[in-house]
Amino acid sequence: MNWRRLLDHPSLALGLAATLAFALLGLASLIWTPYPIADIAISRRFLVPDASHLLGTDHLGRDMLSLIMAGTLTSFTVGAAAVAIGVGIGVPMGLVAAMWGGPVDWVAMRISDLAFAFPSVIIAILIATLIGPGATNAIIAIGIFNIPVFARVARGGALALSSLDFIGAARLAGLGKAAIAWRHILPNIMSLIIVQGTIQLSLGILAEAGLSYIGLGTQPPATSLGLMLRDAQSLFLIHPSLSLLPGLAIVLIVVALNIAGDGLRDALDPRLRRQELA
Amino acid sequence: MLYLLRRLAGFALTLLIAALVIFVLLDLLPGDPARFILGINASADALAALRLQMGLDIPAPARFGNWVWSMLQGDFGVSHTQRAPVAKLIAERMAVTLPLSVFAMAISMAVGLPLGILAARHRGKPLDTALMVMAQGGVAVPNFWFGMLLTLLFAVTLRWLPPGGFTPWYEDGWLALRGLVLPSLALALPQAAILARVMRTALVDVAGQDFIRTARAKGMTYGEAIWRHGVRNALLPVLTILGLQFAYLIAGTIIVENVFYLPGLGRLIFTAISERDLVLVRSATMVLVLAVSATMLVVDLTYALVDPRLRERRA
Amino acid sequence: MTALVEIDDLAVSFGARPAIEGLTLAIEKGERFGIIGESGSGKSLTALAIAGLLPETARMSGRIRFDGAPLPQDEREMARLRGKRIGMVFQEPMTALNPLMRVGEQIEEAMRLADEAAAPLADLPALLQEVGLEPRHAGRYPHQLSGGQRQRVMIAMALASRPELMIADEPTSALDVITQRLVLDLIGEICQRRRMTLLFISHDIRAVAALCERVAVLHRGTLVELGPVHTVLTRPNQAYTQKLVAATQVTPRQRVAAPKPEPLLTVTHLTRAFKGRGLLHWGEKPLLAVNDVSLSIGVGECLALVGPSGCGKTTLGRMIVGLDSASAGEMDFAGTPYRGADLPAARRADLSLVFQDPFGSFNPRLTVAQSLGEPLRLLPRLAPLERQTRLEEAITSVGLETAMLARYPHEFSGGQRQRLAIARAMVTRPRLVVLDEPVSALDVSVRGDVLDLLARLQADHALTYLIVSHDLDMVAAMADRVLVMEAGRIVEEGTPTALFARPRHRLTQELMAARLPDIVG
Repeated sequence: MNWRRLLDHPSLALGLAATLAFALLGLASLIWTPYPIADIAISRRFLVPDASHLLGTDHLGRDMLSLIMAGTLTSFTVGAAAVAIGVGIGVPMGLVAAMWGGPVDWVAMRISDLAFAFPSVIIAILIATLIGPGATNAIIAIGIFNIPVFARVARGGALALSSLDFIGAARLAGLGKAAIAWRHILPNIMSLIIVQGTIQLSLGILAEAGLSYIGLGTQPPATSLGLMLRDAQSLFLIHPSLSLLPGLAIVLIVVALNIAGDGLRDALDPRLRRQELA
Repeated sequence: MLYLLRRLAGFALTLLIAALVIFVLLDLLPGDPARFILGINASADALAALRLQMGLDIPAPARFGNWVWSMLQGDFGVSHTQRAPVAKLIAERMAVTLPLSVFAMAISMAVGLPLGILAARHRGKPLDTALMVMAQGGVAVPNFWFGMLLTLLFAVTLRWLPPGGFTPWYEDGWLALRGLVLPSLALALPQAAILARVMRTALVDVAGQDFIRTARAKGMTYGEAIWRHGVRNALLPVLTILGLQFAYLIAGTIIVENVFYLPGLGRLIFTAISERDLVLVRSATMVLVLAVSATMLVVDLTYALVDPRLRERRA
Repeated sequence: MTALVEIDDLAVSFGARPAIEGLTLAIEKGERFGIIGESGSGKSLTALAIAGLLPETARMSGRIRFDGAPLPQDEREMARLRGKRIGMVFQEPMTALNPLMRVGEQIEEAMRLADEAAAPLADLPALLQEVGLEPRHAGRYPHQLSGGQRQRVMIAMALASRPELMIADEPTSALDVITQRLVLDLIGEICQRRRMTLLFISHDIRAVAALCERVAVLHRGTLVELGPVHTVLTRPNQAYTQKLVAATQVTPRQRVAAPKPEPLLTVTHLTRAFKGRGLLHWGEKPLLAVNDVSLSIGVGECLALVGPSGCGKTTLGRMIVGLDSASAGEMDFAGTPYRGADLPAARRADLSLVFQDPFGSFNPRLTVAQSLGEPLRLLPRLAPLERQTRLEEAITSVGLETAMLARYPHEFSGGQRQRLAIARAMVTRPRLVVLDEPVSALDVSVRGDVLDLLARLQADHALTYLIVSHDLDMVAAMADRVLVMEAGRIVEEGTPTALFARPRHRLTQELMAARLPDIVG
């Protein structure tokens, strides 16, 4: 896809630009934030926004803008790592299931059914019981839930393609199943995977927020948007802005990702609309 | 009939393997569960007593078999920390969690599906655009944060409903119900946005199919054809999503209970985690997995009920 | 006679792309009118425009009058007009019926829509009988009926309102040969009995010739020729019509060299059984797609395998090239025994297959050179330079240019893609080529060219062909010998001339009877 086509899809361009802006905001926190996020100063707490603290300070006197920048980075990192787990394990699993079929397919689909029976909260509960909460916990929990999603997308896409004659032609040319999956199927289901990737990224960011909010995700002194909401929980009746800002940040990031995802689906291939439902 | 049997067998198998996974994670991985529960400072007597209570003296496969067998008979073991049967503890909490998720599901369907149909009927028109912009926002709102906003508006500013807490059903049913209104809404509206989007996509997709054209050729207007022939066909893909959504919803209740200080399953589990009560966590997660799988089962069976092609599919 | 439908200067476009331009024609009351055209000619859009069913994205101008009055603008009025006075039958009866509703209900619904006072329960059995169905079929769902039965349901639905005009848009192209003829005859009979006006739309000139009195020829959205069927099809004025008519008569090709008697491939007692998987199917009788088939193909011969869909001819072809394996029996290709997929790699280069669907047979992400070069893996000792020569040789041999090797499949038309598919089959210089319905997915006007190409390649490279097809005319022109297959077995064998002149087996007789008459000038 080239840049000219991007301009034909204004919503895609908008969604990508907004997503990129948030991602850059998060990345910037690695090098620079207005104040160090671990900087606790009770004397400066509950400050209203002004020139020195653009978004004010929280109950520990930390700069809200700095916290949101760092929290955004956590959200993206956790979401992206979970998508990587889902793609890395789910896509090969789906391809193998579709190519080898029979008992292999059956086993792969039962594994995926099983993973569907464990929503990420349940996995997070199990891991937290064993080794305690943390950001890694959230990544694994969300990642495991992503695996069957990508497995099904890959398997569905591969099965739809496998009845086409060019797969038969490749078999006649002596290509093995793995080679056919790699050369003929993967490139043709890539757009499906990318679109699903943006959807799972936004779901992952929401899930991370939820897990951190109930204390099973990111732990202090690190921060995440969900953890900020957890901290604000007991204060939000008196200081609503402490919970409004991180919440809004989550909403905007997810909206940006979803618009980008919808735009991508329309731009990459109009046929995806149908396949996605099947 | 064959389909029903196959699906039931699959359901049982999934549950059995899920039980195995949970057992391996929470009973085998910690090494000595009794020491894990009591901590390193526990006395030898206390350890020995707990080991006996948990049946750790018998081999793991037999222990797993016993656990599954007693669960089938409704016995979920005894919680060491709460000093009460786990089944009773979970049942108490389900009185909050179950109505909450059912209400939320009902509201999300009642709101989401009609709006999706409405948007599809007016595809490309301003109403459709407006509804879909709203849905785009709704999908992105974390339910627990939405719960906070609802509390701010309806409990703090307008004072219509309680901000949190729960009156047990047997004390005052009306108060109990009032306590669940805001949590249900918090859970339901983001779900409704998703359902509206899915319903619209499915219906727009069905609208392009040949049998809608046939219905119009028979003398129906586009709207009549969509209503008579489209909606039922579009509900098939929506059903699949509905099952998944309900699974998310059950998980979501655990999070939203926190916002409203509801004594549901979630809070029971958090207490159990912090007190390292393996027996309680094990059974509670099993109940959650059961709820999710049962939902998927119901969805699949409904699917077969609606679609005659599936009823006869043999392979 | 007065006109039932008058179309005046009709134009339909999608965005900037015109689909129909300046179309003017009239359909008289009671006549059977045909529209002939290839894909993209605008013939189906014309039908949809008359019924007020054009897609929302289409823009229409011009006038259409039905029985003297312009089509109503109001959606509800237009819908009622369709429901009461126009009946429609579409191409694909599977997708045109609601899969979740019993077909009886769907027909009754059409009756109620036409006349609220109708008593559907009384009329339904009579209607089913008229289209050749039994009362018990009313309780079935669409997927429980065969393609022909589904199309009969569609026809019953179209007749439910006792319409004045029946529009049939390619009503038989999704059906197999024998059913095609039955459905065509049914439509003809019903129109005659009910004195109903028919608008019949098809790409099949012989079907139009058999059914219609007047015909319009459409090409790329414009009217090419209009007049009585006999005149237009026997003395066509326009070059395009002449080409279409010529394409229906496949001229038998001249054999240069007679095939040698020594066999290249022998198939002995070959059987392919498909079993249901899993415990629940244990003990069930397996389905025998190919059942104890023996045959042999001589060097340089062109053998054809004909039969209705589902007779096992494609499965047999797939086993021969090694895409599928036999459950019992054996094959022998030039001294190498095999059962299918176990064909040694070294031998695979000598066998190739040309697929039916030119749109699915190329990976859209690979260039033509990459796709054509794929079978060359079977010849690992080929030098890179030789590889390139092979590709260029293959693409020029099918009448395309070497520069096209760098392009992607979507840049080619259906006919060109089928040429590319043939080039891919030729690139390893095989001895035996299996052609699976090589032209049935192509537009009529390019079929002849592709068949000529196949004949020339056979002569130039001393190839042996196995053609798998249901198209008797094509087979008669191409093949030296014909095998007729039914339910996995070969039921008759002979040279095309002998076999088609005096068919002995019931199936061959039915196939011959289903052939539509030639257009004789």
